[in-house]
Amino acid sequence: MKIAESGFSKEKFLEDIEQKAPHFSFHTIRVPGKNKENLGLVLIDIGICYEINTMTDSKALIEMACAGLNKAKAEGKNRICHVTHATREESCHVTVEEKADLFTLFAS
Amino acid sequence: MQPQNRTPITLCISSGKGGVGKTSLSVNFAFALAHKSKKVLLIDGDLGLANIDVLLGLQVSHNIEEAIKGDKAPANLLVPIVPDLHVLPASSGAPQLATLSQEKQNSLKGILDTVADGFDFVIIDSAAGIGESVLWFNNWARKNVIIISPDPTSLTDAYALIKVLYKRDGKKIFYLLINNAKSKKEGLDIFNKLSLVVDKFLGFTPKIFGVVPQDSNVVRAIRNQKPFLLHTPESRASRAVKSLTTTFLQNL
Repeated sequence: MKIAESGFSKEKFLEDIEQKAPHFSFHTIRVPGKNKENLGLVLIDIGICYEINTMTDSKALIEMACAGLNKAKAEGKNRICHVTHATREESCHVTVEEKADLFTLFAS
Repeated sequence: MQPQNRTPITLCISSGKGGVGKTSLSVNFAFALAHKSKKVLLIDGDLGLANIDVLLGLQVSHNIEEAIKGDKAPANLLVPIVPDLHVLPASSGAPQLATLSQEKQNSLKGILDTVADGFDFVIIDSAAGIGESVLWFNNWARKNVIIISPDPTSLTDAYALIKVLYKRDGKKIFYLLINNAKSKKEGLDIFNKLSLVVDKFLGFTPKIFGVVPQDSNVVRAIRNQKPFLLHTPESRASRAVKSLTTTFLQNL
């Protein structure tokens, strides 16, 4: 049964992943999309994005997300942007909010 | 012979994501301009991974690396392709060129300023990604064209490139070309929506450069190492490139 059909709980997911990867911030986690049956995206922190409708295992989703986040941490949070001298306010990093908007271009 | 005493319009064509058709479109756009009797210099900005000579089936024995090292005068490296079109090839397998030291940047600027003199247009086909050479070429050029294909990763990488160039270099004028669109409507739709995102988060609006549709003739032309404009001049892609070239020239 796919996550979306099994009664996916955003709050539970957030709680689970915070326990596994406490050093990442999850201030933004969204399941956007006008038509949730066709597009369910989970966006975490620096923009790990998974289409939850294609996942069948929430544990696997959490593991994939953690692996992605750990890799990003190792590469530096500004992995999207190679200009490492930017300050937080001037960051070139593509934010989760920006990515959410970009991904929903294909939802409508 | 290279024409003299002209100040060219310089364009850098980038994409963020690789494989969206940047080199193919750079080459064909250059050809389209040359067909309109404009003097064009096409520079392979993928310094260590040459593509343009491969796409055109050129056998080049000299490239930009020799100019940067000072081994050869830049003007002697230009390869004439058709009347009004020259190419400055990159090297293949020279990884040290992919990241530009300050010394190499200074040398490259001098080279570009020298070879560009006398052309109407200088087009740089940049590398993929947002590495230092990509940012440098985009900064050197007056006009920045970003190629997008209709998929989320291409959009995100294009947006990332726009954001870097804006935040780091203050660039605010970008021309978007949507490649491989199912239809003109889809291309314009993507352009409009991406423009909204850019405006929302960065505070400015990009301009449309054009829409080039999906066209199987493009792949056939690439396999034949010919620009699709020459290989199948009446194909959908060819007509789109000719049209956007006309519009580009009208809007100068």
